[in-house]
Amino acid sequence: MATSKQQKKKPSMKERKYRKPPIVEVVCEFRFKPSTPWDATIPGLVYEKVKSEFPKRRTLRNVGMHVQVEQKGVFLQPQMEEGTQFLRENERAFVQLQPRRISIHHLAPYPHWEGFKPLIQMAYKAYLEVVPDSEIQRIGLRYINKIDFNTTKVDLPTFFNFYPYVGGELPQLYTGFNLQLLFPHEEGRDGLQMRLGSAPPEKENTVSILLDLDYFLIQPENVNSEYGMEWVEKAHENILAAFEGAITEKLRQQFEEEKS
Amino acid sequence: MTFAIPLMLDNTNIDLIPVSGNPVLVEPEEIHWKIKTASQIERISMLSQLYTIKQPGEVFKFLYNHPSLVEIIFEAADALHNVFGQDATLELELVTDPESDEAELFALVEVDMDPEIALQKLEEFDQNWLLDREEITNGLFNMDVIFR
Repeated sequence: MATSKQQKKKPSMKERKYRKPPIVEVVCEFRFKPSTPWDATIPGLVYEKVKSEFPKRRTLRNVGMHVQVEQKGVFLQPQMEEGTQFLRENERAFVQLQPRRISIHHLAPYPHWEGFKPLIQMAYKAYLEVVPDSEIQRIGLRYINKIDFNTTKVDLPTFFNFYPYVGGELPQLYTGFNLQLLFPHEEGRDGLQMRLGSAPPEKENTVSILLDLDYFLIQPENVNSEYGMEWVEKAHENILAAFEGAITEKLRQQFEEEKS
Repeated sequence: MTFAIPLMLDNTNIDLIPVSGNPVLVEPEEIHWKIKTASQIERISMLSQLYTIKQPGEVFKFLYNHPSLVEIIFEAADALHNVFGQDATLELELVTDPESDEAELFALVEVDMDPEIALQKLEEFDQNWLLDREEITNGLFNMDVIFR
């Protein structure tokens, strides 16, 4: 297995494009430290800067968790948090703003990286212009893929290079699974949480599988807010490699690769 | 394939993470499993904590295609419990008109009360709550009561 140093030397990967990509949602989220300023006027000021792209505005109420770190562990406490969404007219893309947090979402159809990256840039720039002293706590870039099979059984190794191993002494048929691994990247600065699991099928006699790639910043002291987009670019590159590494040629055929 | 020691994480100053439920104690090194990048898909699937969903695949697909309904449905759970009581159980069901093939999502409130009173409450709920949100629901979300 390659070390992270060896991974660093790899040439950057060209994005394969598919006619039927399995991406159902892609999200880029920036969280800022509690010392970062926040007040009720910020959503309105950010909206002024992004409304040309995201004209619709909506309030949302989320149940979040307050996390308190103590000697004997970490306590989580449910807490209501208010937020605002700025949406495109078709609602397939939106920006979500909560105290010290901004996320940019795109639902299917995925416009490829060249379509999604400018939305991230626009929203992140707008946030930093409104709150210039923002200190990054966490950045996440997440790709959620849903792969549908018109069949009642799927042989996972035929389609994936990442699947649960079930020894010969165990039953070989299972009806639900969830495999989750955390890979270190960039010498431990970042992590990639990769999950493969069963999902509720949309139709009878079909099988759906989720491949969820959540790449995030672990060591925020190594990324200044002005380099946020550079981090995002690297995250995208590493997610791309992980996605292509997780699937087989047989599954690529199902997505119908566009040949240039 | 090698399993290594947990990654060193900055566990301090974390304020909110998007999961719901009761307070739980977790070990510091487990916290990175708990924090996820926000996701609309995950938000939709969290509705199953508030409603019984018999055909989740169909309902989730419908909500995925009508994202404006998602927050209304979260809000509806609270509002319905306030009107019909905390012991009322809630269900989400997608109903398709066989003639037009148009689908509508129903929040079904299962109650144990006099049908006349329940229907009266439903009527008031329609007028006071649902009608206010008609511009967003666009006739795609409705409510009904069922009796135990």
